[in-house]
Amino acid sequence: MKQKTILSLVLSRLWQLVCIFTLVVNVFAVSSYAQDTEAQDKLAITPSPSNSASSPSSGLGNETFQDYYDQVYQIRVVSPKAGSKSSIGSGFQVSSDGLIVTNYHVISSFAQAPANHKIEYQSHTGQKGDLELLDFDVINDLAILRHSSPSSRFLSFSDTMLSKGETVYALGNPRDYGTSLVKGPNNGMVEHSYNEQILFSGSLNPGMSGGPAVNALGQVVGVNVATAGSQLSFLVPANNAIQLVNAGRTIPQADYQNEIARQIKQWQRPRIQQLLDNEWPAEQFAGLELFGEIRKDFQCWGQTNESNKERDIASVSKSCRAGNSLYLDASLTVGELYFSFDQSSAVTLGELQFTSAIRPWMSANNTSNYEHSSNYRCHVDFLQGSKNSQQFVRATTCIRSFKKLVGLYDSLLMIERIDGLQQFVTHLSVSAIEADQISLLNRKFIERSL
Amino acid sequence: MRNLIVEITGKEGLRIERVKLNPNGLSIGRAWNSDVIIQDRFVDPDHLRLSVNHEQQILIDDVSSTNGSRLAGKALNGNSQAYRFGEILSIGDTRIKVFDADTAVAPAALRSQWFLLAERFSSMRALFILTVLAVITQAAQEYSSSIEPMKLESLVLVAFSIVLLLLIWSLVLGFVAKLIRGESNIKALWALGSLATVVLNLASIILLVVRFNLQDASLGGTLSILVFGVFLVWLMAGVFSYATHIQNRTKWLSSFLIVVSLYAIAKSDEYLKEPHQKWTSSTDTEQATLPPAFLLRHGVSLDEYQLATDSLFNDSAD
Repeated sequence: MKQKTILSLVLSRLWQLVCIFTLVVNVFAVSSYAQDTEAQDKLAITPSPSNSASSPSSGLGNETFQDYYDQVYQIRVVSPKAGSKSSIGSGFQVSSDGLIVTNYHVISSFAQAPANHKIEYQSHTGQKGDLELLDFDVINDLAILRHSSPSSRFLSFSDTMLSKGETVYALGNPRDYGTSLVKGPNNGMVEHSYNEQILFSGSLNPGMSGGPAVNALGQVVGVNVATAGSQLSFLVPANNAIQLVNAGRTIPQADYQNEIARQIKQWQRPRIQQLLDNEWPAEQFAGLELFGEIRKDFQCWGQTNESNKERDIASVSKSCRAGNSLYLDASLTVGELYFSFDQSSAVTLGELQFTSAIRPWMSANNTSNYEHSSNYRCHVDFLQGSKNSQQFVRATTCIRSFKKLVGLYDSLLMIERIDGLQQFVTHLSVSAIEADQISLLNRKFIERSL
Repeated sequence: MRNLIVEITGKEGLRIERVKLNPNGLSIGRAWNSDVIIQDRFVDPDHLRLSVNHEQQILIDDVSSTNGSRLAGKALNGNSQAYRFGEILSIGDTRIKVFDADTAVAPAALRSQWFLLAERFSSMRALFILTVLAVITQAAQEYSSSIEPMKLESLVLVAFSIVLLLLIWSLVLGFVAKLIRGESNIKALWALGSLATVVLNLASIILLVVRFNLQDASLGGTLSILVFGVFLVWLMAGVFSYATHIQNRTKWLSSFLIVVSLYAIAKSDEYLKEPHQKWTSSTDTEQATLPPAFLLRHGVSLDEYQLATDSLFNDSAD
């Protein structure tokens, strides 16, 4: 168990790194993040949509970029009580009537508690004003805001596919230091991801989230979203932003939670159904016929404690995780899919001590708190089917519900098979799925792992 | 004329006198010629007078004493008052009870079961066997819950710590018993301590097996609390028997109340928590795990299991 906990800690640490969003001011990083401002300037040139964007056929030479800096707005979520910004990101105007695109995570604190927050922008000239939240897409991390006094200039989307190796220019205001341009190649779509994201080799920094990434023609090809450090950054493809803009919706504040729940359900339904329908390719684990990277978005890691010479229990473990989760709030992430196998055997212990030592415990793999989730309720029982009396199989299922996202649940499943001095534990943790699919997924998982 | 017994409890202790109640009464006071002499400087030379009326009732009179008298807690005024045998008369620092000498005294009280128990284990051999049993059960209990390999040293350590614990227990409680009850009962306390260790360890092992088979954390928890609660009440009643004079019913009632209040104090933190303080991202499941041989029931089928887990969705809104 100890090894297992450490492993999941390491993995979640890795995951957190990937998820350090480029703009959210978070509680733990007060000093540096608190200053993040992201002003997003329009990429200079084109006042009118598509045709004008293509006009500077010279491409974006360093000279012409000057104008683009001015089109990046800094987006701030302000909590009026504190009188100060609580999170910062970048955004850019995409239409003449003042629609501004940014990331959902930039304005997530507003979406979670509209009554206690408001959204403001600051332009490159220092001009400030209020923004209205019209629509958002929590799956692709986008939001549409309306600018009360639209600028005459705005950016247009590219209508051509980005080719691998093509240079992309990302704009934003990292850590409130001033609008910056980051240049780097497009490396195509991120592998091991269920959602499409562009892998961009440039250094996005906190505060740049929501800023535009443009091609050499100054057309928007993506929206800055996250970084994994060291020139590993991610962009939301422009396509998603175009769809959201074209939908032209305005979500009433009272419906934010229902809308978030609806989007999650719509995203999860096919994502989970595919796992239910597909054959999970067999992979060997500690002499057992199991499975691992069951879809391209799953990645597995394995480890043993062989190097520990003083171990009382020998253990081999493997854990697999889907590459996507949704950030809904500083205190809420959902959508994790995670499973692990752990085979242990006693080295020095007798049967009684071995069984006393190996009872694992489970806790949530996604971040949540009292506001969002109920406590887990669990059911534990022994399963039949052991062929001899030397073995038992114990199954534990724990479910918790979301308080505001009605109809969605987190689930933890654990199967332990004890056979003399050997124990095999498998663990499945899924987040924000509807009850019927959790039930089916757990069932398939039990059947496949025993 | 009636034969009376006067029981006088003063600063020097208890004194019993046999006196005759003449038709002309009986005097109680500090004077040398009193019928019952009370040596108490707050008592008048002629303080109380006992007499008998036509209906053969005993009457009591305070003879204008300096400090007054109390009968069953109430001050005596100038008038004669009827006295019922056994009532407490207080004068000065002295308490007096009067009984009819012709009435039979109560039969001897039974020594409680606890002393029968103590006598059974009073020989050194019995004590030794009991102590060895305590060590063995303790070792078994530690072996079953240990998560490290047990070595010979740890067995020696178990034996040593049990004996040391019993020694401290018997000596400390023996000292208290000597103070309160007047007899130290060290052997009885040693026997009780060893017996309690045996019972506690056996109960823990049985509970572990039961809880393992139940796999229900809240039911298992309640069961453990009940078993350990009953055990504690029993143990405390035993200690009260050896160390105090209190009555059987008081003994059980007070140990029960003490155990219940200890439990309430320990749990009050939990009960006083706000709902959001009770929120946790971890799960609460039965931790008891034993080898397959201890599984005394059959497992459920996958369908039955799924049915049970599906109900977790229904009422998980809390």
